Amino acid sequence: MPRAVRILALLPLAALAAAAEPSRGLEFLGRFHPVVVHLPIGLLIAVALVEARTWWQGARQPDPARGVLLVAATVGAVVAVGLGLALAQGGEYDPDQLGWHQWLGIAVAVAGGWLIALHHLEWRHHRLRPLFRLALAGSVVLLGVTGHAGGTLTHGPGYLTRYAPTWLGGVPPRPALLAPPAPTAPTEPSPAPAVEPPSMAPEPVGEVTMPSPPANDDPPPLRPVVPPRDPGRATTPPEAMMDEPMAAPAAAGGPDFARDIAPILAARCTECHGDTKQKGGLRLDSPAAIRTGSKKGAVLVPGAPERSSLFTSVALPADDPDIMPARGEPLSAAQIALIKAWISAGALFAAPGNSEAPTQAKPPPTTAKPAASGPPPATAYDQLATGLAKPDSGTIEAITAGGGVVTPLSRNGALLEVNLAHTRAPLTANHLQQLARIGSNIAWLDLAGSTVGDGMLAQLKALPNLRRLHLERTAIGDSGLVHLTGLKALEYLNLVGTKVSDAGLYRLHGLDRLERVYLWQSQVTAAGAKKLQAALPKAQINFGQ
Amino acid sequence: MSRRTACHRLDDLSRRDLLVGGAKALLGVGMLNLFGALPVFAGDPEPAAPAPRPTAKNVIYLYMAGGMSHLDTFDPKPGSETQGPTKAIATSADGVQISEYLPKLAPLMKHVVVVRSLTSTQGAHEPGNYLMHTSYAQRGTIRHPALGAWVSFLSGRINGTLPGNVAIGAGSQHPGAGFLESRFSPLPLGNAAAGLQHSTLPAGIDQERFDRRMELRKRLDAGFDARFDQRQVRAYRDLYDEAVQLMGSKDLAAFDLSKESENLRDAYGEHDFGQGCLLARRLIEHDVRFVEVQLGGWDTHDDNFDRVQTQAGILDTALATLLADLSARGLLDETLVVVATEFGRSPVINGNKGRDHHPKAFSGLLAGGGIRGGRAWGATDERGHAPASDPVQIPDFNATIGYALGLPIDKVVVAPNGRPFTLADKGVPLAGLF
Repeated sequence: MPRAVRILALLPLAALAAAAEPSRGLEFLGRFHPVVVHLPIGLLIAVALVEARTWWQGARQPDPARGVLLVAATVGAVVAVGLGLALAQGGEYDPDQLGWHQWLGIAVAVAGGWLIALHHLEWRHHRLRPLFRLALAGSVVLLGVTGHAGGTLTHGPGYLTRYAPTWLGGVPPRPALLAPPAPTAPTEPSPAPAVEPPSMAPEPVGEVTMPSPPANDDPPPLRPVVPPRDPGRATTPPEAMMDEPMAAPAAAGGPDFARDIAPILAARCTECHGDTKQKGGLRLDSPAAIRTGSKKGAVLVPGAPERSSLFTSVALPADDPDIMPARGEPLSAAQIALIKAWISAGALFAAPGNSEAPTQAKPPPTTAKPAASGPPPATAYDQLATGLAKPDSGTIEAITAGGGVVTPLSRNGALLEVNLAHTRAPLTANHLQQLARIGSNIAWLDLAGSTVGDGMLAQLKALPNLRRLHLERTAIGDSGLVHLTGLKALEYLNLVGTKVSDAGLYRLHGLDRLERVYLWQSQVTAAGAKKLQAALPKAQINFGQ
Repeated sequence: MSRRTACHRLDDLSRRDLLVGGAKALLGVGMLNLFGALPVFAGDPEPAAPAPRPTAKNVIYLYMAGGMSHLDTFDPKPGSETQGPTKAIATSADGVQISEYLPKLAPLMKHVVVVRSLTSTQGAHEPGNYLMHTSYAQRGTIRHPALGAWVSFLSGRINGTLPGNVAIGAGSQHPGAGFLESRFSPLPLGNAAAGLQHSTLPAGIDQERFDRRMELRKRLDAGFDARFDQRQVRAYRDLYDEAVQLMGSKDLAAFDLSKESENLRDAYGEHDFGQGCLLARRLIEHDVRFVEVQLGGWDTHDDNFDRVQTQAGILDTALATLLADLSARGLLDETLVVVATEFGRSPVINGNKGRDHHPKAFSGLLAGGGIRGGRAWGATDERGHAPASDPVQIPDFNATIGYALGLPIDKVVVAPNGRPFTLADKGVPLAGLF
């Protein structure tokens, strides 16, 4: 507080300082623009009030205070304009918006001068009174517009009306996001938009289970509405973006800062966050500056794009007031995916092995525990789904009609989990035969507790991409395992409570991608389990306690 | 930094700039900006992208009613004056100690993440319970759905004949389906060992006669239903349909604990909570997606240490057996086990050797379902008074559960009163847990 008083008292001296060291001094003076600017606003409104009172009372002579107030308002406006021009030197503001405010402000000061002249003329020639009043009213309107433009400049567009009722232009409340989502629509044509929900109308998981809105309900029916900031993307793990074809280079080998990221920054970011301007105190034109971050702190959390504002602010929907770049089109989906993938991969500024690596690869210190930060690690599921054709919707309908449940496992809906544990009629070979038509789409299959028999498992050979297989609590025995030998992709096999024994277990020896095998309550002995473990050293063989 | 002054800037003006600036300044063109803020056109909403690949299919949600003392269970502070007589023991999770009252759980902590930095502002039982279950603060104008109802609503059933949402031993305080239609509310079960009561036909009424009666009821109601297709009417009709469907389910045996071996039943513990956990496992096995089991008696304002020891013993036995059982059956990979409570207990030990309500810091557990276990998330200060790192709000905790299930946690659902709600309010999932 005392410092503020000192500065105010010495303000005239500051003008000298400005002369001595122009750029610093001007910036210093400029900061007083918001302090001073409200003075002429108040004074001009006071002139209007005084004049309104004269009008109301029908007085012949104008109010004697009018002249003094008018001169003070105009002088204040001129000073405010001067300080405003000094503030504009800092380059922290959007030039377009700045232009509006600047010219309007100058116009107010000019209007003040004209009003003074009119005031003197009117003093002698009363018939000019309507003209003076009209000019005064116009000036007040101009003042309001200028003030609004200044407020927009300081607080950003939409600040004033953000919390207005939505019909007045307010922004509807938004739900919390894991991470701000990608733009609502890719700005470049994408050969195969992967965001489309899978075409499985009767499938009872996800979107389609919403109660259908009834026609004549008094209260508005429950209905899912899509939040203003497309949230689905928000919860998408990083690998999900990889299945967009345009991000393919990123998926292969990972994005390289110099090759993939720096050009985006140079083209779209450094105009405001670079050498000439550092909006928000952020520079994006060198690795060191990027690591330093902005006034608000780090913009980069290696491995965690959803906590890195370098990603989150470009991934906002196009109509979000906070989206970056603040001007021009949003970044393309592919560019956003590259940035995300780059941060996910640790935000390295130089490729490993590069001579720069030792100094550059060190991430800035973060408070997060390294193991605990970041979204789920990338898995093969979405990549596996990339090359796959969409599953045949007729087949899915048939499976669902029989009491099966089909759930998409990948974002493009090509990879599926099929659950046939609760079919209406007891499970038969026909149920499994149905699967063949979407065979390569099925990654998980749940037959737990069903009436599946050894012979029926022969149908599984049509499922080359099967990763998880639930056969627990079924009558499967050794002869059923014969049919599993071709399931080379299998990672999880649950045989709890089956009739499988040591004699058949050797059939699994070739399935070298198995990670978990559950054998509790089967007829397998400890010796048999040990043998399987020896054949599959990587797998966890769970034989019960 | 540019050294150009204001005058130099004016030098840069072209004639075109001057005209544009003049127009802006003097002709009121600047007014156009004002209208820019008005809504012009509300476009079609973007279809929500499908949820990410789920890491969990089912949830077993164990609720410790009354406020579980974090200091005497999962967040001990050995050596602190606030600790009292409770000792800490090492576990199979590196660097994670838990209370000596949980010896059976200690070797299984490698599957578990202890969230130690939960924090809330609701220090009374009812609002705390409500917030934990719904992610929203309790208020007079609306009843929010509990997590299980959200799960049922957003994901649908896998087993077509069993309810998708079951609550065992939950009191009348349970928020149930809130503003969602009543068919999403949990099927309430009082006593797990008794199973599902009244699910068989009364003596003297065979299936055919029963079907005839139901058919008659449908015919009588048809006109009314068609004329008043409203939520309460639908809820009443759904109730019948669901009940009849459940009675006819071939999976009704899922409710029958007598199908389990005596040994296993004993291992879960001979009390309602342990048997409830066993029933939860059976239901999960039959693809019921969300099962809540409650254990009360944690409101230890007096005699905290003896009473917590008793309650923790019940939890220890049941949860340790549940985790081992799920693990052996290969179900822990796909089942998220949650331990939650409304708040912790105060570090200050009161005059009755008790601990009072303490929402500022408390612990919850997450295990299985794709969670990378064997660690603690967040920490409290040395007294166990407040979160010292990574504070987790209740909505964040619940968002994590929704995230694990692959649910669209940001999907906005408009309640009948026209207000928008989401599964976990503004919660942000702890994505680092997976």
